Order: sequence, then C-alpha cells, then structure tokens
Amino acid sequence: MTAVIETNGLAKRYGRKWALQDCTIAVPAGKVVGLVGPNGAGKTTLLQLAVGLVEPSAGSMTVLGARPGEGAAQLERVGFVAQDTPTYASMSVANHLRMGSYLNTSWDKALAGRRVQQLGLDPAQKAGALSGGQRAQLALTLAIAKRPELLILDEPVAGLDPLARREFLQSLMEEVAEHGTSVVLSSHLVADLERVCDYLVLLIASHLQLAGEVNELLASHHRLSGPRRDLRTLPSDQEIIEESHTDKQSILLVRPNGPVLDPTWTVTPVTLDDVVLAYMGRARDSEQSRGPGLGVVR
Amino acid sequence: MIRFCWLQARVQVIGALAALIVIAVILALTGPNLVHLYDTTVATCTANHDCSTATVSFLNSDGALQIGGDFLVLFVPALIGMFWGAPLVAREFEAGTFRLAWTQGVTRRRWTASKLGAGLLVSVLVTGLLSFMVTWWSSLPDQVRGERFEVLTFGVRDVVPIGYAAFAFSLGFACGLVLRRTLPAMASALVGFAGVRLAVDSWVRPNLIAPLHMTMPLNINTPLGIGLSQAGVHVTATSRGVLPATGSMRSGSSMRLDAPRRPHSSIGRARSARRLSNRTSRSASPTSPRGSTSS
Repeated sequence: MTAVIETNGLAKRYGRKWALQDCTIAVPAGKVVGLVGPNGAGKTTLLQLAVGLVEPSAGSMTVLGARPGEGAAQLERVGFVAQDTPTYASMSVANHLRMGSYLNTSWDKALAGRRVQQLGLDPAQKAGALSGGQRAQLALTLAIAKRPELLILDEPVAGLDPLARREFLQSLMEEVAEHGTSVVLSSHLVADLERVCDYLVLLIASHLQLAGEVNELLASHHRLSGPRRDLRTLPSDQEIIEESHTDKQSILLVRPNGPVLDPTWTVTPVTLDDVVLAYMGRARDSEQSRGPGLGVVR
Repeated sequence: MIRFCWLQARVQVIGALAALIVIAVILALTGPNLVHLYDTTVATCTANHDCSTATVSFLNSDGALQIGGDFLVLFVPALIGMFWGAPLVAREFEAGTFRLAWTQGVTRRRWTASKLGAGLLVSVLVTGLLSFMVTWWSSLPDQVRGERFEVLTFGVRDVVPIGYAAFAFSLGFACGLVLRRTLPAMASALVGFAGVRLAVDSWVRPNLIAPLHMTMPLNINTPLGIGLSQAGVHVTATSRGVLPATGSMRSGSSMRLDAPRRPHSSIGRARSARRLSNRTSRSASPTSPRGSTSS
C-alpha cells in the first residue's frame, strides 16, 4: 500500500499555540479520505502543510513521495481547493480557466470546458457574482482540470446549502471515479463525508485521534446495551470509547479486540457519526480532566 | 506566468497607456504654441529691451498646463506605489486567493518574481514616458526659468521620476507583503514614499555633491541686466539663460546682488536673484543654486 500523505511527528505552531501536534499518519493512495474534526482541530493546518502553504514547525511530511509544495511539478501533482473556495472576484469564469491553463502544464482544457458547460456557468460572468455553490464548483474545476494525482479539499461544502452540497460532492465523486484521483477532503460534519469517504482521519484539539478505513472502523466498533453494571468487570481487551448510564441500563461504544461474547449485552452496529462523536466526547472529557493545554495522546 | 500577469493587470495597464496617450495629445497640441510664443517674446526680448515683460508673459501662458504636468509627474509614482504596488500581494492575502494562486503549477518564487518584475517594468515605462513627455514640453519654460535644479523641478524631469516610480512600487509591494491588508498597505506606501521623497529632497540631495563656488567680476562686460532701485541701496542683476562668462553654466545663472549688511527685499523676483558676493554654484550639482549661497 503506497501512501499519498505520510507524516512523522508532524507539528505546527502559530505563536505559542500548537495547531497540530505529533501527527504520524500514512494515508493510502486511491482512497477518498475524510478528514474530520471540530472547528479549530487543525484540519486546515494539516491540509495547508500538505500543499506547502505553511511550513511544519517540527516533524516531516511527504506528499506523493516528495516535500509538499517543492517545485512546480509537485505543485501540479496536487490539486487544492482552499477553505471558502477563493476565486478572483473581478475575474471572469473564462479567465479563471485561462489562468489554470497558463499556470499548469498538465491543464486539461477540454475537461475544464466541459465541466463549466455542464455546470451551466456563464464564461463571461465575474467570479464575484457567482453563488457560493457555483464558486465552489469553479474552484473544484480549477483543481480537477490540472489533472492532479491527489486532490485536497478544505471544507469545500461548509458554506453551501444542502442541495449544492450534494451536487458538489456528486460531481467530485464523478471526477474521482473517472480519473482514479486520490482525494482528501475535510469537514467538521461527518454527515457530509459519510457517503463519499472510504477512509477516515479524525483530528481533535490538534491531535490525531483515529485513522482507518471506514469499513474497518464500522466493523471494529460496537454499541453495547444491557443492564447497568460496573465497567471494571469488562474484559480488558474491550476499549471503551463512550459510556452512558441510566438507572437500569448501561450503553457503551467499545472497540473490542475480539468478538463480544457476553450474552448480557445487546450488540448493535454503529454509524460513522456514532464513532466520531464518541471519540470527540472522549477527547473532550480527558482534556477537561487533565486540564487545559494537555491533549490526548493516542 | 507573464501571460497570467497580463490577464490580471491588462485593464489597468491599458488604462494607464490610454491616459498617457491623452496627455501626449494635449502636450503635442500645446507644445508648438509654446515654441511659437517663445520665438516671438523671449527670443527677441533683448532686441526689444524688455525681457522681464517677455519672460513673465511667456511663463504665464499655459501656466495651468505647466503646473499640471509637473504635479502629474510628481504624483504618478506615489499613485503607482499605492494602487499597483501595495495591493499586489496584500489583496491576495486579504481575499484568500493566495491559496489559489500559490497552489497552481508555479512556484511562489516565480510568481513573486514575475509579478514584481512585470509591475516594475510597467511602472517604470509609464512614468518614464510621462516624464519625458513633460520634460520635452517644459524644455523652453525650464530654460527661461533657469530652475532646472530646483527641488521641485529636478524631481519631475528626465529619469528622476523613473527612479521614484520603481521605488514607490517596490515599497508598496513590501508594505503589502508585511501588512497583508490592502488599505493599510496603501496608506503606509503613500506615507512612506512621501516621507522618503521629502527626506531626499531636503536632506540627502543637497549633500550629495559639494557645491562649486566661483567668483566673477562685476563690470560692464558682465552680461547682466543691472538696475538700481530707490536710493541706490538695492542692486538687482538679472540674467536668464546661459551666462557666457561661465560657459558651463546651464542654469542657476540668475543672480541676486545685495548691498552689504542689508537684507534683500522685494526687488525683482526672488528666484532671479543672487547675492553680490557673487558666489554661484555650478549647475552640475543637483542642488538648489540658492542652497549654496553664503555671505
């Protein structure tokens, strides 16, 4: 399994605040990777490190086997749609495509033209006059038409209404399916990513919490419900991610190492949302118990 | 990258060139008039024995254009620094478009070099063309006034504005890079440029080259128009244009003659006067001729 993004002890500090700490991860190629985390978790920092817009404070990172943002060729291999999908407000759609063709030798003019036509964008219209959804689509077109090996999108759908969200993700998935591009996209909402991702990376409070194939994550986590009991009696190989108790009942989200054999538990499958929320809750709790400034070390 | 620079800046560049063409047309239409006026007034004034009236009437014609041209050349570098230099990077940061621009297949180094280089080239070109047009148009008034090396005039003729434009553009670019916001960058580019210009004009340039002092006899052969004012206390000597006695003097050749221990007052025009001590500075120094006078 080759990695599109590989980091080792990667960290970024802004002033005295760590935006990302001790991040070691290998993101496999050919996947659609969802980068999830609450606002301010360090998602944008990680992605900007990956495209070379910021330099790491510590650790190392390779993207497609090279240093991020090193040289024009490397820049061309990585497509990037930044947060809020920035475009030049006073420049027309057609001129944006022209910009793409001037600045990227790998530019696929036919692809760009076809996409603009499909989206119903008026080439003469100024980008500043486009709706949020149209602007996001234009930014995606710019990133796709340079035919990158890796496409990185930073909260591309955050500002879009549900319909535009769906259309955006749909057109993203169509392009990815056609060209086999690896994709990393971030969101603070799991719901956005659930349908499109097959790999999940969870960042909370500048720390990496979880990374893995979505299928494996879903298969390895279970929700257990049963009569209330002392959790210390649980087998030691069952890692408790989340627990909640009523007077009579205990509900747990666990990551067991083997099958759950205890017949007193009712085992139900979990959704991706459940898993992510459970880890977020655990991270928050442990942060509170450890006091500010200390994160969770996995 | 150059094509992209053109794509982004063509409206401004074309606008600037169009403005230059308009100015060129105005100057080309009025220039020959000025030459004609010069030929009929100043050039023949010695024969008519009335040079002061001739020069005054010559210099007053098209006065608005003369001042307008000078001020245009004076302000264009500042405008270039504010509107071309400062927003170049600042706007990218402000609108977040740097994340779009710097993730295309062009390194940041090349992006910056192209933007900076192309911007500098256009700034220099526009200012240079403007400066040389105004210099050409003003050549006769400048000659008559003999103030080529006055603080204001020196800064708005020939190649000097080109230097100012290059500096203003670079300063604006640097301000934008540091401040990352367009309006503050524009404001500091303007303030910085005006400050540096004033400092250069008032403190740096007068000290660049030591002024040359020379003494010349005042006698019947001195090609000066000499007039006595009331009670013979004030002597005014006026000479415009070239002083034959000191062939190397192209300007700064007017003189003020004062009786000793009496401050000169309202005789003649201040700029056309020099002290009796006859210390004159040579024109090779880009300082004001008056700046070197001491008696």
